[in-house]
Amino acid sequence: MDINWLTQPGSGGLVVITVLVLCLGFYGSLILWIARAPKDDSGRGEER
Amino acid sequence: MIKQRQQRPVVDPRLIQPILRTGGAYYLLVALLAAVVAAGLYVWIRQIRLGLAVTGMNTPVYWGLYITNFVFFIGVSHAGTLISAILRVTGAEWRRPITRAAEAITVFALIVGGSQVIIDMGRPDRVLNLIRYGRFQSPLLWDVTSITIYLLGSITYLYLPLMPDMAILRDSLPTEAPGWRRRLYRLLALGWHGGAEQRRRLERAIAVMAVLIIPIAVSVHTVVSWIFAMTLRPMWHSTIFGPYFVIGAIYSGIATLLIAMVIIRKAFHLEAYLKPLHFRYLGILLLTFSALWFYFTSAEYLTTGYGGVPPEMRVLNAKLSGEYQAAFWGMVAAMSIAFVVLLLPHLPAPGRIRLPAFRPRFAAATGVAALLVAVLIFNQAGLVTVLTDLNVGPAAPALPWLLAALVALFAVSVLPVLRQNIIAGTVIAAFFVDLGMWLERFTIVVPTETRPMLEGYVIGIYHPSATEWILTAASFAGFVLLYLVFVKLFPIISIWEIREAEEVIPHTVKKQSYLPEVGPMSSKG
Repeated sequence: MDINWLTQPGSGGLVVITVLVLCLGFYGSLILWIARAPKDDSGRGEER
Repeated sequence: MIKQRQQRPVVDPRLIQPILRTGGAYYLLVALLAAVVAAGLYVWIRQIRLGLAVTGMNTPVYWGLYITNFVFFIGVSHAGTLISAILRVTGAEWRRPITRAAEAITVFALIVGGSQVIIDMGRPDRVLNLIRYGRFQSPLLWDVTSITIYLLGSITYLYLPLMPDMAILRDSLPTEAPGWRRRLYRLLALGWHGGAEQRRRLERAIAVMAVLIIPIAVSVHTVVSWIFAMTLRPMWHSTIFGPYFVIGAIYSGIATLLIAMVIIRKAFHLEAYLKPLHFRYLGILLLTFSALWFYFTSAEYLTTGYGGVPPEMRVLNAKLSGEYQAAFWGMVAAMSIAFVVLLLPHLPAPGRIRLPAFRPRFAAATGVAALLVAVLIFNQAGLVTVLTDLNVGPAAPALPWLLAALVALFAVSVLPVLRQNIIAGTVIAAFFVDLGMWLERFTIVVPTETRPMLEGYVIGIYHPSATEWILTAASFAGFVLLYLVFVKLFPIISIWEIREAEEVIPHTVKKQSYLPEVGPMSSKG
């Protein structure tokens, strides 16, 4: 694969947008993973 | 260890008092800052309409105050990374009351720092060119990419520990609190229920983010330094810039955090949580980074001076004895004062030597006199005028010695205060660190541009215009304003982390001293 496409005008924008999407995806999924944690079986989790 | 409790926990009212009660001084300060920000907005719109000709920037000085502020604020953003992430990873339990204050500094410093680039562009719409025409080999592109990752990561890292506190506020707000607050906390709590699995996931996520954010932060300021170091300009093209900028960033970040802490402590009466030990430990960190900063700065300038490469010597001379000597020596003075003040509490007691009692008027008089003499010395034209008017021309060579004597007298007069009052000493040093770091950014950015690599070009001239100064003031005001709004909406001390401390901190005297000076916020109501 020819790596030279990375040095062409516009490749930078592709990098920035890709990074933005990946970051939003990773951080967002982390937050949702926490928010969707199941309650305990007893239903008496500590409320804080 | 996560325990399940049956009763509703009690929240220390001091931690939510700042949110619920607002004094007149707060509104006054917000109004003042908003006015400064509004002035900044006005001159920015004017700059967009009239172009960058309203600034002092011109060939060959294309970067001035805006880029100085950009580098400064991105540097300050390293506060959160160090305090929250590094101290968390290393298990420093004393960090708990200060993590949120630090993480908030990170987010707002990144926002304000990033905005400086938009301001500097003159035509903000041209930021789209980065997407349309940006090329991978551009350090500016690396910079945008790394700052984007860091900003999003810092917002996440600020938000994760906030979730349990949002649930606490959701459940503990007094009935008279406005409805919008209840809705806000319910929204941000994202249904937090505090179950064992949820707490386990939160702790895991925070641990992952803490480990991730450290290399991201290091990369951010390294890449910011490469904006300069990857060019071939004299005194920019240096391999030391990467670690030099990172050290300076953490240095200014800790200093900014100390200033924020002392204000929060005083304004919200949080003395039980923000203890002298926090200032002492951060002071030790600041002292360490002060030594590192001096090491890197000396290495940088000594290498340049010893090499004697003509283009670099032109820039070096401009800093040491040319038109930028005030900024350079002001930086050195500020950093030296900070270093000495930070070192004082750690020096052995003078033994038989009795330190003089602190006399505020004497200290103020010598301090002001020293400042006036310093201004005179650096303002050569003014100095000549004053000496001529007073008919004391031959006294000119004695002025530096007079300055040294006044500074020594001032130092001796404030010595007792600085040794005994760890908070005052550390915060005074922090002010000088931030001042010195801003001057350092200016000294790096501007002088090199005035002396291009090729000889024969006319030396560039840069005088920041009123537009630039107003926008600089507005940037600082905006940063403080964002922080004030944050403090009004969210607890500035992490409630759940303090509670967790009571469970996880070993019952040794030292470790227990990290806890707030109240009874534990137990589950017993």
